[in-house]
Amino acid sequence: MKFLRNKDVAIIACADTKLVRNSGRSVMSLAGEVLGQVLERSGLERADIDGLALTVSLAEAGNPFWTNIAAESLGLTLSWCQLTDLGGASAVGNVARAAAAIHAGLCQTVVCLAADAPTTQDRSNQTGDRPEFGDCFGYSGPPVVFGLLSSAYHQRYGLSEQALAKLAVTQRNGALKNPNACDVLNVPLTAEGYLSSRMIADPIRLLDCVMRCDGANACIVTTTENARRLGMKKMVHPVAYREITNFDSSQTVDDITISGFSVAGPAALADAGMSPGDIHMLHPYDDFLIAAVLQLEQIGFALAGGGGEFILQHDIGFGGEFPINTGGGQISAGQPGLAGGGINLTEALTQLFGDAGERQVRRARNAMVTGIGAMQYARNWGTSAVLVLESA
Amino acid sequence: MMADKPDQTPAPQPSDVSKEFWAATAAGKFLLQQDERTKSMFPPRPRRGEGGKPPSWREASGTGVLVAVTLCRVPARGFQNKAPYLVGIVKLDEGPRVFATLVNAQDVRPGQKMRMVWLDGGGEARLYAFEPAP
Repeated sequence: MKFLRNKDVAIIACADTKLVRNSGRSVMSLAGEVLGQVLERSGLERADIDGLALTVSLAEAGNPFWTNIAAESLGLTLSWCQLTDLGGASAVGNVARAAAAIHAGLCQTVVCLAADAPTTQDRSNQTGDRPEFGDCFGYSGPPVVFGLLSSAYHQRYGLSEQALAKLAVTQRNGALKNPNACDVLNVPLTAEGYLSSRMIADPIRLLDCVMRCDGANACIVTTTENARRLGMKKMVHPVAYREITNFDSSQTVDDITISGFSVAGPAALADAGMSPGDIHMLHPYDDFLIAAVLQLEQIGFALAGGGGEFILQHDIGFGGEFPINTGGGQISAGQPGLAGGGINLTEALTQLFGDAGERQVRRARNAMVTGIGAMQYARNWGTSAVLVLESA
Repeated sequence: MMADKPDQTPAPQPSDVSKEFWAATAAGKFLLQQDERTKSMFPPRPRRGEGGKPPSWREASGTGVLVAVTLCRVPARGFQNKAPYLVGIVKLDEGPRVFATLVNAQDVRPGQKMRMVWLDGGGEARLYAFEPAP
């Protein structure tokens, strides 16, 4: 998507709802709330929207006509629709898909919307390797995958608990300044508190894992020309995007911790004409803390095995020189199911718009946001996506 | 489909792609599917074999090296009575990686040589596990 470097595409507003455990709400109710918010912030009317990119939700996974039902409920007439099933990579993936659709002339102004309510209802039904070759052998969910990845990483490089503790505490400090973070996570955390949380799948502790919740997030993508015509004072350009699904399909890479980020990360930076040192802040997909460590290394911020040291040597808080997941990330704000990738995306956009309030970072000209989607058999994750954003 | 009893390990539900694999487990054989280039694959995939023919199968040696291990303290359905239990990824000598429970494997670490064992219970599709090789 090298056309992105021309900055002809702009994100003009973003919004997210309060994250809530067991909200009792429907996905559509959450979607309606966040659409109302993002329209209000942009000053657009429903009639100005002609594209809709949604993410698959756990709560409505069985509905085969979800996009149409959403369009009808939300009052949108659309010339382009998209429903993305890349799990946590769907949110950044939808920004890229919206940009591509706009670039191709299919539509002009797209709402990218992610909503899910898995703590109220989960109607997903996974088939394939997981039930047949996983569940029958004791696979109890993603913590098992990340326990295995941590084990392989530790054997090769040594895993720094202190670095994970610092990341956990730093992200929690961001969440404490994020009014939309889950209330149950709105308690200060110390390194000792992280280290003493109970083991789930050794060495994965409870506080290495995301907590599920309900919520929604959205952003509006349009042409830069249209954004100017509308008189938008603030806009953010997606300048590079790379996505890899089923990295190493022939399975020639021996190290199971190596993911698609080893390709997508450096490629996205090259597309943006940047080196890792040019990135002002990183919003890595964080279903597990170790995922952020692996991304730091594979994207190129740190050498292989050096992700922990990178975290220990940098001030990664919202006031620091290399802020990471400033709003708490999903780990400390909550994971609204398959809309979770939008937590990292919305925080990056909020920072780039300068709207992050007490947790506003000083240098906010650009940001990298990533997405991780789905778990693979006896490897790592299925989709690795990297989006580079620049404020206008 | 999941097992009805919480302490009963769910039984594999073979598909048309995997039925040959599961049928062989009844005789204690772990079959690896051979792809177009006669490379061993696992799990079975809907792919053609050498020369465009249906895929052929060959029995795995059952030995390999442990790649990763974790102690699963939050059990899967049917594993409540076994928790905490070890699971791991073993790279077979033939190449493919296999996820399975580990038995007789306290303090085992990646790099350990492992061998496949068949679990009790039997039935039409048997479940495999790994233990440290002597």
